Amino acid sequence: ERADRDQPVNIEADRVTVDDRSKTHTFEGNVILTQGSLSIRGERLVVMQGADGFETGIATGGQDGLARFRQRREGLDEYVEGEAVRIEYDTRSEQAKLFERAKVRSGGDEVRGDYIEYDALTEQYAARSQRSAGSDGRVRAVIQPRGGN
Amino acid sequence: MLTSIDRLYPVIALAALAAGTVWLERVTRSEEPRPAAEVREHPDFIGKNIRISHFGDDGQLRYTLVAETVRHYPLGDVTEFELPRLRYETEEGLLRAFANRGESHEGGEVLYLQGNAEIYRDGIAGNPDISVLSDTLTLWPDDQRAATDDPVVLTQGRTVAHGNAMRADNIFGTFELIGDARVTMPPRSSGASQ
Repeated sequence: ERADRDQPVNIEADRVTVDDRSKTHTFEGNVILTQGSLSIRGERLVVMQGADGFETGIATGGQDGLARFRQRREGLDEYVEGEAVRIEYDTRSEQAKLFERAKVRSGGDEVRGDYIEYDALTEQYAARSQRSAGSDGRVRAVIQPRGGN
Repeated sequence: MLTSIDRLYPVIALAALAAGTVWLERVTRSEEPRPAAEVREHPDFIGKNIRISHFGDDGQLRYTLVAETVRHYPLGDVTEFELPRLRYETEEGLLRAFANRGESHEGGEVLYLQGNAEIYRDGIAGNPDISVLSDTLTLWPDDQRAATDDPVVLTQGRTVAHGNAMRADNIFGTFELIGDARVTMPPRSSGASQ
């Protein structure tokens, strides 16, 4: 939800390396990032800091090799949840990009693909797949019927 | 057929050897090493408001160490500092370290800081300055490295990081916080990192 963006970012991990030259914080081991209702989990998280604070985070690894994110939907007591081998979150565009074995669930809806882009502002997501050894190149989506038509 | 004595013979021989070794060790053990306090009783020099400048082989000033009081103890070659202030001028800016007390041992390659030990370093390439605070800090001045196994707080702008221990390398510009690392960063929109 939109209020998340004005919250401080808290990150916990087993260890963190602050690299002043590359302006990165590399977190390793049981990594949890929280910012308001947004949370990102993984085994490793590389955060880039710009002049005005947290800019981008790249999460990899985690249970079953998947990083995960979760964020409450605007004005609803419902969450959007996503998982993928790699999740890139950009606070400037407020977008999460999910790479490989990507899945996003929102309410009863679910989308899978090789790549999913989720826009936290509009709460919309776009999915794409490409034919490859492990994938038939198709995007799969389950969209629940909206009640009362 | 081996009689029981023959079978026991190796055991008896080993037991005798072991007993002899213990007896020999006890006889030749040197006198108990004197407790550290006793080693520290008689300084061979005491200095007030001391400034030590350290130059590299290239003749360039590496760092200066200022202290309110310096005591040197010949036994153990230990130097104690009160209110030590270490100051580096690197190409990328100033690096300073200070604490309530400090100590260096043989050769002076290592400086142990105790009590409000702090490192303060100019930020690189427009980044905010970095400060690191802990109860103790071990410094390797020549290598520009530092470490502590005590809880540590690193602050840069409004980013604050906590950890249970730290390894820092000024040449690479890295600070590694180890164990229960927790970082709080300002949100991007507030332009607050400075």
